[in-house]
Amino acid sequence: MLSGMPAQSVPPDIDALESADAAIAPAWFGLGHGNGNGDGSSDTHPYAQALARGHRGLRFPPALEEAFLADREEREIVRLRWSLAIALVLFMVFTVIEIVELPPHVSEATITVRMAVIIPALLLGLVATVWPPLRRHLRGFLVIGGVAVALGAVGVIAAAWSRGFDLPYEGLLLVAIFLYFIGVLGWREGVAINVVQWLAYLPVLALWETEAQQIYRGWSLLGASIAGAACSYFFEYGARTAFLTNGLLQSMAEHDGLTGVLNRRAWQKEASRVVLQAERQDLALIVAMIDVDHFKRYNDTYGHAGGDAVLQSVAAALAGQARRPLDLVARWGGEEFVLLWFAPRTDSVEALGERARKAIADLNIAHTASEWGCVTVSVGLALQAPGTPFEPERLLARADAALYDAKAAGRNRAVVAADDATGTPAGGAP
Amino acid sequence: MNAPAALATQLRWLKFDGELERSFRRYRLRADLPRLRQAIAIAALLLLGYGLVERLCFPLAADSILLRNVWCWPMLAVGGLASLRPSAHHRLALVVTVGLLVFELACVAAIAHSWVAAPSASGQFLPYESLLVMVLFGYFVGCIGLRPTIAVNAVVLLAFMVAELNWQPAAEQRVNHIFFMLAANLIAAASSYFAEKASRATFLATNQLRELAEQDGLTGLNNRRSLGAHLQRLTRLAARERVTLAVIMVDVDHFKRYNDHYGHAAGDEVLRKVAAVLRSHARAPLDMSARYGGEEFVLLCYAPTAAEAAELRVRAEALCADIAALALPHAASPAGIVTASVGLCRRVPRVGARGDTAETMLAHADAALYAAKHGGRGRVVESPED
Repeated sequence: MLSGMPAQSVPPDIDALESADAAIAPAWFGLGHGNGNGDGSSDTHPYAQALARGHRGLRFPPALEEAFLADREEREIVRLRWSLAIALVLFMVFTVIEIVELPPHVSEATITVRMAVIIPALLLGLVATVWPPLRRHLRGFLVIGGVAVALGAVGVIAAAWSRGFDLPYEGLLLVAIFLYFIGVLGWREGVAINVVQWLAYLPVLALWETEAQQIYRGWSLLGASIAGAACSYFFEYGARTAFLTNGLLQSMAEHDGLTGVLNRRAWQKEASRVVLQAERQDLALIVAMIDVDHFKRYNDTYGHAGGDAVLQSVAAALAGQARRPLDLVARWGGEEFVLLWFAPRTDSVEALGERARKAIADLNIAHTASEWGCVTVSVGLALQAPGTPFEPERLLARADAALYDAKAAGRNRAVVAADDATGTPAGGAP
Repeated sequence: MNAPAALATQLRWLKFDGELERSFRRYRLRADLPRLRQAIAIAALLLLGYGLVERLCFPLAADSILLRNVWCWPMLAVGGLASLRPSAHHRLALVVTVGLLVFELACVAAIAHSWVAAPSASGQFLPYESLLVMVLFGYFVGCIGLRPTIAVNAVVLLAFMVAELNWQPAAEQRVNHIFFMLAANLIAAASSYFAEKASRATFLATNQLRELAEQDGLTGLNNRRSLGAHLQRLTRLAARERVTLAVIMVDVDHFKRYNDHYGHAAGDEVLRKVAAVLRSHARAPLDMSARYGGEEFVLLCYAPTAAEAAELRVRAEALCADIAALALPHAASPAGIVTASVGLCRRVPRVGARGDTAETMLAHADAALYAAKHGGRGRVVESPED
C-alpha cells in the first residue's frame, strides 16, 4: 500500500501522530491537528510533512497523491462493483415499472434513454473494474460514466415531461447522493458531476414546470447535493488522514528509531524477499556484518548521547554504501549493523567491505579510548555466488564468523568468510 | 483470541468481540465528533432551506411546517450541545440515535399533517422529498453505527407507509413514494456499510501498526521512541503536579562477554528474560518498561503519593535483586551469574529555564548507572539530589 515510500528514510517522531486520531476531521471543527510537537523535531518524512500541512483542499503533493489514489482504488474496488451492481438493478426495476405504468408513447422515450445512455454507462463502469486494459483508466471511465448517468437521468425526466407526463423526478436525488459514495471516485469528481446534473436540470424545470415547482424541485436537488457533498468531504478527509497515519506508523514499525535504517524485524522480512529474487535470477548476494569497534569504551568516555550520535553517523555512512533499490541496511542491535548487496557489480568482495570500512574511518570521529584514535568498524563479509546452493541462514552465519575473525585480527578491517562450508556458525554458538 | 479469519468475519458483520468493540466505539466517538457537528450544521441548513422554500411555494401548509420545526430544531440543539459537552459524551450515541428518530418522525408527521389538514382543493400538500433527503442524510451523521441507523430508518419507513396508506390524498402516488423511499434506504445503507467497514479496517490497521511502531522487536517492551515520548509527557505532568518521578536505568553486566561466550542466540534469550523482570516491575498505569538499546533497559515510575515516592529506592533494589535471582549462569562474569547494574534518578522535576527535561532525567540516571558500574556492578546507585 505504500508504493510512494522511500526505501530508507528518517523515522518520523511519534509526536507527529499524537493528535492524528483527532485529525481524522479537518481542523476548523474544533479538533485541530497542528503538528502537535512543540519541541520542533525535524520531521522530514514526507507523510509527516503532509500530515502537518493538513489537507483541507483534499489534495497531496503529486507523488503522494498518486500513491493515495492507487491505495484508495485498491481498497474501494469491491465497494465500487457493489455500487454499480446495485445501481444496475435499481435502473432495471425502474424500467419495468415504467413499462407497466406509463403510457406507451412516454415509456418508449424514457426507456430509449435508459437503454441508450444509462445502462451502457453503468455496464462500462462495471467492465472497467475488472478488465485490465480499461482498469488502467478506471477513474476516467467513472467520470465519463457518472456524467452519462446524471445527464441520462435528467434526459428521462425531460422525455416524460415534454410528452406531458409528470414522471417523478426523485430518481435525480438518488443519483446525486449515489455519485458521492460509489467508491474510487473522489469528492471533487462527485461535486463536478453533481454540478453538471443540476445545471442540466434547470432548463428542464424552466420549460415544463410551474413556478412553485421550479423553486421547490430546484432547491430539493441542490439541497440533496449539498448534503451529499458534505458527507463525502468528511469521508475523503478521513481516508486521507488514515492513509498518512498508517503510512507513518508502518514506517516507524520498520525503521530503527535512533538511526533511521531498517530494524531487525523489517530486515528479516525484506531480506528474505531479496534472497528469493536473487535465487530466481541466479544473481550474487553479499552480506556484511559490521560492528563499531570499542563502542563500549566510547560510551564510557563520551557518554551515551555521544554514543548515540556515533551510531547515527555510522548508520548514515553505511546507508550511503548500499543505495541501489534492492540493497538493504539494517541495525542488527546495539552497535551492530548488517548490509546486503543485491547483484553487486564488483566481483571483489573484499573491496566492497574495505570501502564500507573506509567510509566509517573517513568520518574521522575522535575516539581517544581506541588504538586508532577515531571511530572504526570491523567488517565480516560473505558471498553467495551465483550457481551455488542458496542458504540464507548460513550466509549470515558466515558473515558473523568473518566479523569475529576481523575482531580477533585486531579490528578496523574487513574479512571475507572462507568460501567453503567449514566456517563456524554465528558467534560460535554451542 | 482474534485470529485473522475471525477478525475478517467480525469486520464483515461490523461487530468486533468484547473489548475490541468497546475500544472501537470510543475511537469512533472521538473521530466522528467533528463530523457530527458538521452534520448538525448541514441538517439545520436543509431544515431552514426546505422550510423557507415550502413557505414560499405552499403557503397553506404553514401549520405543517411549524409542526416539523417545533420538533426538529430542539433535536438539533440537543445534539449540538451534547457534542460540545465532554461530560455528555458517554451518552452521545444514545442521544444521536434518539434525536435522529424524533427528527425523521417529525418530518413524516409534518407531511401526514398536511395531507389531513390542508384543504384538498388547494393541492398544497407538503411534498415528501424533504423526508427523502433527510433519510439519505441520516445514514451519515456519524458517532453511531449502521445497525442503530437501520433500526431508526426502519421505524421511520414503517411510519411513512402507515401515513401513505391512511392519509395520502393521491392514491396513485403511493407506490412511487414507497419505492423511492426503499431505494433511498438501500443506497444509503449500502454506502454506509462500506464506510463503516473502511473505518473499522482503518482502526484495526492503526492499532496493529501502532503496537509495532512502539514495541521493541526482540523483547516486546516499549522501544526507545515510545519511551522518549512517554518520559516527556511524564516529566511535564510530574512537574506540574509536583509529584516524584523516577527513571531507573538498568544495564546487564558483562553482556559483551556473555555474547562472546554463549553466542548471540543465548544473549537474546537473556535480554528477553531480563525484559520480563522489568515488565513485572511496571505496575502502575503510568509506569513504563522499555528497552533503551543493546543491553540497556529503562523503568519509569510515576509516584503520586509520598509513600510511593519513599519506596522507589526499595523498588530499584528489588528490580536489581530479581534480575540476579533469575540465576542465569554467566561463566565469564566474576559473579558467575547474570547481574545488572542500576542507576536511579528520582525527583520532582523542576520547572524553569534550567529545569528538568526528559533528557536531563535520563542523563542523571545514566550517570548513576555509570557510578554503579564503577562501584563494582550488580548494585543500585542513586543520583544525588543537586
